[in-house]
Amino acid sequence: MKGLLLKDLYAMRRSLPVFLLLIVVFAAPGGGGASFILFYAIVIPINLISIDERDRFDGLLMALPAHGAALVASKYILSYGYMCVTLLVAAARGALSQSLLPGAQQTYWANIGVSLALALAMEAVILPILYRFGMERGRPLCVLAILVAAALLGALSGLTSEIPPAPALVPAALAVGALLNAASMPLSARLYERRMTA
Amino acid sequence: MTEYAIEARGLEKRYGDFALQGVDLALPQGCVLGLVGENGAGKSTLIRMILGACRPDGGTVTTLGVPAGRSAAFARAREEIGVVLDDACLPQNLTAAQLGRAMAGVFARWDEKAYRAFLNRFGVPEGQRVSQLSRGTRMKLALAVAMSHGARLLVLDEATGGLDPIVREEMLDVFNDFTREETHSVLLSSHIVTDLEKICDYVVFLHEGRVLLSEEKDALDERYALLPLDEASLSRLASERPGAILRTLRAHGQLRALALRDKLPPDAPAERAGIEDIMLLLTKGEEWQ
Repeated sequence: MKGLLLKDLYAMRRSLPVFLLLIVVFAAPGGGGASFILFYAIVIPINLISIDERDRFDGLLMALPAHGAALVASKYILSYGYMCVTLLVAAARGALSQSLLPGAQQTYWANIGVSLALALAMEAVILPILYRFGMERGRPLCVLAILVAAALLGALSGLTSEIPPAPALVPAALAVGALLNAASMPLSARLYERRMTA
Repeated sequence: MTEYAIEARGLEKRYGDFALQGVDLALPQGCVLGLVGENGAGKSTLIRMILGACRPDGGTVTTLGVPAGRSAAFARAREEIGVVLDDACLPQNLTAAQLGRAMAGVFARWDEKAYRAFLNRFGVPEGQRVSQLSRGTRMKLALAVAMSHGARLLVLDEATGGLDPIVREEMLDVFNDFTREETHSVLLSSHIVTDLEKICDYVVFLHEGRVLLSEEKDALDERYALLPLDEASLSRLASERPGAILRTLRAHGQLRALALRDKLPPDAPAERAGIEDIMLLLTKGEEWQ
């Protein structure tokens, strides 16, 4: 597991600074918002899966004392890592804003909470699709999933401009996102193993 | 300790029109087995089953004494299997040094010192990305990975294909060194029959999903012979010694016959039949009427 995680980190080391820059730029005051950049978390596993497919890494995996589940878990973990870094930067920005404009942060955190829940849900849906169908066949379905998520977000934004999301709903949304992920990772692993051993 | 490094019995696998049927294969410990066959004969499918990467539809396969599959026991057995595949399948963005660090986190018995020694011996640059290496160097890197975690079994699927003769010779030397340990075994699948002739103890010839021939290499010499005779001489010989001539093939204006050596008269002009001759005659030749 550790080795596969390291392999993935090395594989994306050239794009890593770009991701960090995006987080800083978007999450900083005046940037587009941490809510938006959270959705980029899905790009990390998509990139890594396409790199694995290009390298035909499943060929090497059958030579390693590791199951496909470890390779799948590595993608989820790196994506969660990205979300954590984004949240840290967002927290720093929130703290800064709080010191400048006390009391105006409730909507900010509610939006981030909802975006995190949506990003988690999107990941939970997209990764099993990619592991089931592969990049080539899975990509159109993923685009569809992203469009649906964007439409949902748009609808939600429309609502929240008039009625701020009830903070009580955010933990529930996050719990749903977390639950979906808890089911998604073993499902992806199973689908990947099945595709590999067919 | 099990007697065989690999033992397959009655393996079956079906993919659309292709079927691997009733494949038996046994690689004794300390030996080199050459798996030979034309493209699409089922060699890679068989190797995938030996490595537990593909479920057979029927039959059994044990590798290093453990049933091949997705079990935890087989994952542990994989610690002792070194694999080199046709196109190496290494992560293109990584350097050899990074690959070593990643593999150290995968194999419990990863030997970084041995890995560096192999890189040095094979002339693989540590700091260059895999994508920047030539095919030969990539295969050497894959071999360095395969041999740096205390493997007892090497599985090589077309590992020498597309390499120049010098690199191939270097790799064969490494395989030879590896099998000096009596518990070390090698399964080598290759189109390059001359490579197999150099190092194999056993030969399994797969044709259209079936084992057409499975013999000790030295026994092939004792069993088969080539007869460079014209049709009339062959007819005469066939009537004198029924069953002596197995197959004939006319190629490049020449008639060649594959015969059973023990059925030939002592004065027959029998020549040594190489693996390639036997392969060609068994698959392309016609049965002698």
